[in-house]
Amino acid sequence: MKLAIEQLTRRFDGIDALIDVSCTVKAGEILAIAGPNGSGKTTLLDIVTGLTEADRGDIFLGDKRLIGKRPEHIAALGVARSFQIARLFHGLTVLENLIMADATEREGLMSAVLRGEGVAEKRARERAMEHLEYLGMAAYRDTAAAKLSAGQMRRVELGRLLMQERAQLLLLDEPTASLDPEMTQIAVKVIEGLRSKGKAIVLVEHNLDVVHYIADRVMVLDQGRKMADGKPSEVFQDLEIQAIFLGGGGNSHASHR
Amino acid sequence: MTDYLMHLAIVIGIYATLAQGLNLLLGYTGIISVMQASLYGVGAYISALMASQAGVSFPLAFASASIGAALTGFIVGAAITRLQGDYLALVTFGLAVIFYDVFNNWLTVTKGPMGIPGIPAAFETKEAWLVFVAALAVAALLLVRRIDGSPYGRLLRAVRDDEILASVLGRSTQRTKTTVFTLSAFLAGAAGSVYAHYITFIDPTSFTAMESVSLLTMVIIGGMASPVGPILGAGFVVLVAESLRFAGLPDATAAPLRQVLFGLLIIVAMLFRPQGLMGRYRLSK
Repeated sequence: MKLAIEQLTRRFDGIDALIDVSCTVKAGEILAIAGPNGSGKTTLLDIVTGLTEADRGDIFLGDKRLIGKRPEHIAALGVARSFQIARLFHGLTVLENLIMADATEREGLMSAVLRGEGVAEKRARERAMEHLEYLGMAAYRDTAAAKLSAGQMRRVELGRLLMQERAQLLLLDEPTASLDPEMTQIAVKVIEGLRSKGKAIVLVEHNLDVVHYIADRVMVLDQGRKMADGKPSEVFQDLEIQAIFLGGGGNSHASHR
Repeated sequence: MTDYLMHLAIVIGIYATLAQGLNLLLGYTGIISVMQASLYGVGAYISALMASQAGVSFPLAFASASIGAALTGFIVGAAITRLQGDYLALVTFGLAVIFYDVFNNWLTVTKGPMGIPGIPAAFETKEAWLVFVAALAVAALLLVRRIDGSPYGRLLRAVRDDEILASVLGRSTQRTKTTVFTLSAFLAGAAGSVYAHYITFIDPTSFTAMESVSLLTMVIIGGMASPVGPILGAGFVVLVAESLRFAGLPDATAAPLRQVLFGLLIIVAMLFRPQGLMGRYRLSK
């Protein structure tokens, strides 16, 4: 399913977070968004997921309009998201965190009272365990997420993405942050695998090696403006773009808007 | 003496049922509500009025009180659960004051501060009451245990941990909070009905925000998100409060001292055992 972002604009307290940003991502394509801290990358993801309102502009996933919808409705349309700082349910176990990414139909109060564990719940548990084993986290299945290291949390977040089989658009906010080189390779493999399943992927990434390696296109943002959009090898040849990264502290994992 | 001990056990059973509902809100979903006693009051007044004025039998009054309180909880929940954290707690406090004012001033219905006397007792003996209240408390415990291990319970705990993440994963946090508010009110209404028919007299002083603070104390001391916690908490708080009776203090001193004691208990629990006796969660970091 294709994502189309049209002239998205957002100001925070007089500061332009995004100015007339447009882009598209096709099914089976990875668009990386790069730019210095405060360039508007995370704001863009927040608007697509419904966590922040846009001042102007439009967003379509296929023929469905996302602007004006609540986050849960946007998720139901097939949008999945990871966060810049891995975000988990801290009081839930690792296994429960993954199962939370599965379908929601069996979570009603009545089914809780009247039914036991159904087939769907059992199947979700099995799938979650498969993903945890792949990510080297099976031993932590019953550990509360609050007790994990930053890198382990990131792995659980990857597992959660793998659980969201119905999602058509994945918005990944620095998925390789806090990961060691070996785990970064696994994360890259996971993302490539998701692309091969036909998902449209938006990847906010400071690690430019990862961007070069994995992204089909890169869009560069600077102070809310779109500065470039094209193949990574071409975009990063541009001296003006290089200046943005040299001057703006790119390739760091510091916080950004 | 046996009668007195049975009376204490019955009171503990009523509070355990009531606290179990608050446990679903506070312990599992992280909603701080100081209007649980108001919903308890709604149940008590519905049941008392139906039985004493319309001559309705206890089972029907009991069912009506539970459903009436649940309906009230649903309406209130749907209106306020879009709020989060401290704001939600403040709104429940405001509503507790409003409900108290209604109980106190709607003279034609509630008889105001005079209260409603002569509510027909549902059972004649303390033994029968004890069996019924124990069965009710056990039913509430089993319900919460069932929820605890279910996908719905997991959803409640997820909403408690991170509402934004839950919504990004496709959950309507407002709907989830409204359902749990409704269920919690249902249990409060049931407990209110039993209280009214056991004591046979109700007035607004039993349904104040301070009474809700006592209930919060039970849940926090007993342990949040533990099905057994509210029973232990109710027992602990009722027995501590009761022990003040034997201190020889005049009523005018004992009542406020009881509230001070509950406040101190919450502070001590927060400092030294924030997860309570049996709980899995702390109130917050």
